[in-house]
Amino acid sequence: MELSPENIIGDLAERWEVSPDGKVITFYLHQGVRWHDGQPFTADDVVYSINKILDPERSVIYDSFPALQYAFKVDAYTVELHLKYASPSILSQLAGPYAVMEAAHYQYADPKSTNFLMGTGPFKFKNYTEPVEYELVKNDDYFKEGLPYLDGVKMSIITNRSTQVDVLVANRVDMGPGSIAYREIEQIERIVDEAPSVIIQPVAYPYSRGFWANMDYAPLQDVRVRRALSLLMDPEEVVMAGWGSPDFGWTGKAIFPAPWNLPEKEIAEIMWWDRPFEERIAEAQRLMVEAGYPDGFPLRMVSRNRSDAERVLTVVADNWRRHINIQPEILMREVSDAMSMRNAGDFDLYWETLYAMTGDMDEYISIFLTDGGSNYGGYSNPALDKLLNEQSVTMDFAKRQQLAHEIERITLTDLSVLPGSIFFTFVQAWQPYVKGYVPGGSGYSQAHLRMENIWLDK
Amino acid sequence: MMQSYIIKRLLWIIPIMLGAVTVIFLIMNVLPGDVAMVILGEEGASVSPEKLEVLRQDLGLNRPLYEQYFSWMGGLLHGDLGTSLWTGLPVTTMIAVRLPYSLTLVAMAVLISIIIAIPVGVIAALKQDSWVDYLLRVFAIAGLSMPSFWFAILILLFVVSLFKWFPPLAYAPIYEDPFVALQQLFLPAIAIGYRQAAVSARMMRSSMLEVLREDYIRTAWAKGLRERTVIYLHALKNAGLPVITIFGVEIAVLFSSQVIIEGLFNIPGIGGMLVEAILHRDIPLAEGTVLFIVVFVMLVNLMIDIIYSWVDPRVTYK
Repeated sequence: MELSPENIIGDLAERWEVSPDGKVITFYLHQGVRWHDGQPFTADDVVYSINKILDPERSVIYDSFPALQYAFKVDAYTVELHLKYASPSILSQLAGPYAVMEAAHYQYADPKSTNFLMGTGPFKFKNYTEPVEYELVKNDDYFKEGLPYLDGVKMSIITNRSTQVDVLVANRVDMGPGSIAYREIEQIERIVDEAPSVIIQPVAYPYSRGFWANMDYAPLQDVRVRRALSLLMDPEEVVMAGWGSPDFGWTGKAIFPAPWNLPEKEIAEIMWWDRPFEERIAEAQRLMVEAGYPDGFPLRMVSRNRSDAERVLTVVADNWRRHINIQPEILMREVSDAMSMRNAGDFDLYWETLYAMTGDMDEYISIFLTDGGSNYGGYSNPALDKLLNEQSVTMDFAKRQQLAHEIERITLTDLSVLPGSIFFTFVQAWQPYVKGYVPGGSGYSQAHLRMENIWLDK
Repeated sequence: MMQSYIIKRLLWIIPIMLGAVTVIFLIMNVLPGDVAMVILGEEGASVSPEKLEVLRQDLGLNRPLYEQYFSWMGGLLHGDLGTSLWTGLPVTTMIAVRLPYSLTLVAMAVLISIIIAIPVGVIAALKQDSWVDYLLRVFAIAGLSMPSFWFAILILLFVVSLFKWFPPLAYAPIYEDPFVALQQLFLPAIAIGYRQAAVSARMMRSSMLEVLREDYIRTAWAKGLRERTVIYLHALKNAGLPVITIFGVEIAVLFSSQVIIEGLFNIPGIGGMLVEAILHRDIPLAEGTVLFIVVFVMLVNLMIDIIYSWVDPRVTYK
């Protein structure tokens, strides 16, 4: 599905209607859709799936749809979703990867059994060769006539990034990874050099990266200090250090993706990106003196242990050390350790991704809301809270966009998250004989990987 | 006599095994974070304390440490290594799936190293201080100096870039499809086996030089025996003893070399599984895998001791 609220393409739902007060959405389901075991897909399945998602006893994503109250079966092919309040983001949330439909008649099946791997899509699960390969076969009962074209799909599990390039160059695979694909310039250069016929295409995802500032750490409580640090984070330098090319996510945006971001010119003005770096250094030094930290302070920078993050942190820390006397300590930790430190507030700055599945504003609010789930630094701004909550219930797009702009202005001024200003950009790659593939996705939304329109011209 | 020695050695495996799994258990519990956090917050997404608590409860991580430890130990007594907290699969199943790949890789690496090490060591000793000796010593020192994973990267770059070839992706155990298995494991086996070959070749050379100066070799020459008989029948058998010993030591190194090389060649072996288990804080899986490796290494060493006494009748065990 497309990701913006204005451009959602129905799949199992043929169409839908929103009630005048916005609190009831009626979905009319495609008829003739069958589960892979031959049973019909009906309203019972939708009601079962939605109510299961919302049940804290059975779901870990029960709070991912805050507006959603319950699902109600009208008839075999009509379902009403009742909301607590009219939500502008609910449709894109339902188009996201969390809104998975499960077969009601499988509710008592063993979730660890491969029988449980059943959907309504173009390919059926056939086999899993632990731990290297999934094999899918064509679903002859697929409800879209004539599709899919392929007889089956094999998905090899290759975790080593260099090996992901090797297998593409050696033509052991038809396509590279679909989402979290090639993301460093060295990988792309190897593909271009060694397999020039392979088609490559960058895809931008709607999430950025940044440093969460720990508001319990005295120096970081001062916005002038946060501003000084931010002034010395040059997006071009960051992207070159991390990914080796400005094409890897330097878009001129800071925190929010389109359509929510401020105009790039305004962002540049706020962040001083339109000024020479020397001027930013001088301003950072002035702010540090004004804040009472002319000699800097120790700064513990924590991140998950990834090579791109390590290079970024090293470059940024070097700027801070040289120009404003910060004494940085870079702590690269593996996932579990890093997240444990993050949750315990055991950091001064924490480098992480501002995750979003669909790119809707509602997905970012927990980063900035007081007591938000992703507000790791303990930041609080009641005025911003009010705006964040207001945009969540504003149905008028233009008005909501204005609110988003206002929110971004505040976040770029308050700097509870120092924006790395680099959006995730991955390169998807496939052999020239693979036809009909449309790159896309958001890293987690894999709708483009349904592969129903793909065929091989060989 | 030998039987009681073997029984004694087998019994020794038990305390060593218990010690190893206890150390792993303690280390993994000392490390910050747990599997619940990794499951819920993969790729850094946010995770609420309530959700973490529910999952920890489900996975049994909220139980006191001693209870978790003794519960796992109790299962071990019944041959049950527990269930992976990450995949939900029985640990024995996961090990059994990956074991054929790892064992085949180790066996091939050992075979390659023997094929290389013995002739290299013998020829270098026979041609001592000649250009052949220098050349073979350079070959051996290069093998010792180069980390296996780096050599593996070089092999891969060479093969992929030049020949546009990579081993087949659909792995097959050697007993199911030997041709595919050989294609898949030959290159990584060379990468791992080269280092082993270098160690053994150097050992072989110095051991051979020593043996060639022994009185019984001189006697053999004096008897007018053919060179082949002197070298292969009299010298090689004795010179080979230290090389056999070194294999026992190196078998553990072979397993550790596998960890990175499995990743590079996308081999689903137990080395990579152990690393993932540690990263995921999957304690039962890590313990089960370590347990298996400990037992395997000790059994191989016991086997080597037995072979040692068979090759050299002077060696007896009490």
